[in-house]
Amino acid sequence: MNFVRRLFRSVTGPFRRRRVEADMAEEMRFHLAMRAEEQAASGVSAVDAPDAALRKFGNVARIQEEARAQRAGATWEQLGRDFTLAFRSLRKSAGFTLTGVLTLALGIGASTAVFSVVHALLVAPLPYRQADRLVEVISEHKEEGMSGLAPGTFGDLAAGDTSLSAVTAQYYYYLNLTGVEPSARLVSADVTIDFFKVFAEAPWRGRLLQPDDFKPSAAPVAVLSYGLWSGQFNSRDEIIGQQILLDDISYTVVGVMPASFKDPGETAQFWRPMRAGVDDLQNRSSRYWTAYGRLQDGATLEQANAKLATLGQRLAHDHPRNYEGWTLRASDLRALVIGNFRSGLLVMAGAIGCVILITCANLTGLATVRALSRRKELAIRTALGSSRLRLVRLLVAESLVLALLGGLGGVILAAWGMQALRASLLEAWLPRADEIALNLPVLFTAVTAAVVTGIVAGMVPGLTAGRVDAGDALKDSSRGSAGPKARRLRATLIVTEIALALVLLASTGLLGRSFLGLVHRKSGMEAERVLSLTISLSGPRYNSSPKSWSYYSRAETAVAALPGVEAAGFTQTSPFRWGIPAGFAPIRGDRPAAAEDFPQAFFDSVSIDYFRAIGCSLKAGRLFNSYDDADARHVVIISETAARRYFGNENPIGRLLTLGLPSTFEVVGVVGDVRRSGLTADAPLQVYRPLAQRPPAFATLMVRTSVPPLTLGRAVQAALNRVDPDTPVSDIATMDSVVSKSVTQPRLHFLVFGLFAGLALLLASIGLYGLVAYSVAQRTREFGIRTALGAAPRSILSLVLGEGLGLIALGVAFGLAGSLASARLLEGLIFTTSVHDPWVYVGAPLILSVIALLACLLPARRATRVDPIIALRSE
Amino acid sequence: MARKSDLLQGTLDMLVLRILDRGELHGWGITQKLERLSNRALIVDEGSLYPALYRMEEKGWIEAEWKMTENSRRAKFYALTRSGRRQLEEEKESWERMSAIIAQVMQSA
Repeated sequence: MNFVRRLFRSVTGPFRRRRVEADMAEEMRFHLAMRAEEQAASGVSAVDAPDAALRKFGNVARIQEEARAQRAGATWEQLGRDFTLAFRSLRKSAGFTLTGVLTLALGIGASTAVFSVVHALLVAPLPYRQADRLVEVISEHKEEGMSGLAPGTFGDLAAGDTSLSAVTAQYYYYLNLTGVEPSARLVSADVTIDFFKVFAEAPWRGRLLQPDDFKPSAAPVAVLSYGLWSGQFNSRDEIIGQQILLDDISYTVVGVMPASFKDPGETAQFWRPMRAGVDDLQNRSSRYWTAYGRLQDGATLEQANAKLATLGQRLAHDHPRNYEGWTLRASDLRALVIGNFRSGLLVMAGAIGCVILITCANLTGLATVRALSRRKELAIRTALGSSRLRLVRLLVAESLVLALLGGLGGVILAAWGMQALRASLLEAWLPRADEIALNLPVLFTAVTAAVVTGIVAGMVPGLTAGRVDAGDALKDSSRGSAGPKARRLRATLIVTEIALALVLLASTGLLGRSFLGLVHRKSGMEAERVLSLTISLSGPRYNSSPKSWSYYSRAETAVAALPGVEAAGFTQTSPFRWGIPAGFAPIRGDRPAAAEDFPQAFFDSVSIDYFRAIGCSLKAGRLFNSYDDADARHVVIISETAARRYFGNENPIGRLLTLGLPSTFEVVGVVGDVRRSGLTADAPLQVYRPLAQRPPAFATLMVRTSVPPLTLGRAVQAALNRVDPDTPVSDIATMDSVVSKSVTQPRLHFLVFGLFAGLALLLASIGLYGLVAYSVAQRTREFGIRTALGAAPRSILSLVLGEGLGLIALGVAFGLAGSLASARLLEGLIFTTSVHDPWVYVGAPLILSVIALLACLLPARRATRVDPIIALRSE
Repeated sequence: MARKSDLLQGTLDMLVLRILDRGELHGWGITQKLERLSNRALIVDEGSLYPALYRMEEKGWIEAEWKMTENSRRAKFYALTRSGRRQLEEEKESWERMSAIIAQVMQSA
């Protein structure tokens, strides 16, 4: 009953307001009148009685305000009034509003755009069921920096005591899809029997792989990824149960996986039962498998790691020849998915924090100035019965309105910035790139950041400026001067902003110098004029070396004959994509040196024209020629670094290398170094042998062109199709793009930090400008007097600049300390320079100081132009 | 002048309810009666009284009506409702219990 009544009153409250107000006023009037009569009766004169009554009564407005607050629904009504008032006063000071909204929009926008990347890669759960229970089981040799699981190890893993409820292993395999238009080269993940048990996923269409599919007698089957199904097979449902031709063998498509389910390495396009490798379970030396496991219920990663370490020790004990130095451990699957992006992402997350802090500091500074210049208004509100809480609420409401407007602008900017960021990285490879989006968690974070920033920015000046003594503020001159407390607050904010901006700027300097250094590094190729594409030969047509070799030579001739092509040559593995390591040793006297004493070399089969095609020059000896065929003596060409490492200063030509006697390779030439694992890594040792002596099953064709390489893509593809229509061409790209892909991360870091540093500089400058401008406006009369008394403009200028300079110096000092302290975090992200690069630590403060000084100079110049007469009259 | 914090929280409500229990009265009358009944020991601050009156009206313990006073002025008279009377009984009981406990503690300690 009571509740219903309250509800009714709170709903009707707003409509009764006018009556209630009138009632209240009349009631107070009655009270005062009675009080006055009482005073008069006790001898106070009739004239003074009402005043005396009023004095006794106290602040009528405040009592009314408190009485009002007792009414049901009053809270909502007041909130509404706060916001109406906030909107009105924000509209009145458009300059402040615009600056505030822009500050927030830029800060929130930039950090949200970058956060969407960090979130997708680092925070968002992986698209697997109970993804936090999934691990990769890693077998690694820390000292040699090698990893990979041998099939034999997997056997022990599956049988052993591991805290894992299921384990599976896989490797990738290239197959040619033929019998359809167009034919294509596909990548399969050949998986062991428990693969879908580990990943616990249901199919989108059809069924998963079943135990029966793994029997040696079973008919070949394949489960397609959503991407392959919707792309190559046009999302046709009839494909389930149909046959497709892979490497000339017929496979039945039994299922399609959902779009969310992706190969953890984002490579495989379909899954098929591992067959060939299962026979290999005794193999403990070829480490070409990747293993995944699911933690048992209740088991922790630490427990799994402890048990795996024990298993690793047992293996090293039982098979020392294979496992000396090798250890086993489990790793969070995310580590595999995002690879070495992790440390960069963490640093970016830190930078986001810096930007949010700067934004918050700047907005707080702005709001403080505004609150100060409104002291008189606030004092009048206090005098008219507004409580302190009410004032703070009003200021917070204003900031909230500002924050929401700024947040909205920020989200719009973020959407645009994210597109730009994605576009600039599109060429390059980013894991989980298609999951980067302004999704709900990202938007929620952005709005929360905006609102928290708004509340802080409103609260701080609300608490300091809300403590207004009505009398003082009203007596004060019309401007109202900043109290020492508010001044100190603003100075602290500015120093913080400058310091944080310097940290970002210095980091940008380091990352930028490193990135530019990388870009100018020589790859060893003339990559900008080279088109590359990959083919793989499969089926009975290419089951022998002569047959493969015949394809390669015909293909090379056909492409080389095209107009616009200067040279075309095959290589088994492509630099900047992958390579095959091998442990060579030089033969000294009649005995080989120990292979362990030399770093692993990359071993490649290349055709005669390969070096000409990539623009790698001969340094000594000769290149391959048509006499280096299958029947000829085994010869190799080595890179300069290899020549130096194997033979020191001796002439390498004519010397012998071996992978193990009795077979040897005679060095016939030395060529320039070519980097292999990206621009961030040094060129490795390299040994080339003639393609004719060992034609591989797949190879990359390098085409050197006299026209922009991609314009020849179609013509080259057509020429290769004429040689053999059933051998598909894939991975068509300019070598230039392949090379620059290897600097994706440095580019991303530089881009993000550059964006952030620019923003931080802008915000800090705005803050500084605002501070100095405000203090100049405050001291107009003082400057007028100084000028009138003969002060030179120069001395006034230095007076004003002195204040700004002090803050800049302090900010730079803190910022330098911060940069040096945080430089350690950039350690792994800097390649061509040191994290203590002196140029950066001199240059960044210099740039920052100059810009900050300019921000002070603009308002300072205004101070020198103060006309004493106007200034003195102005108050 | 007694500040509102000087009166135990909630005590003012009880006192006002008690006074209204004897018959309807306006705000001014309530202050006068409170002062008289307490032999001027309690001086009620208008700044506390009116918010309290409005609060109790909101809760439905008292209801107001505009009437003429004996010297024919219009004043807002407050009267106890049924739920106000119940509230008064509850507060009286708990007050008596409370003061008995306090008295016992003060004497025995």
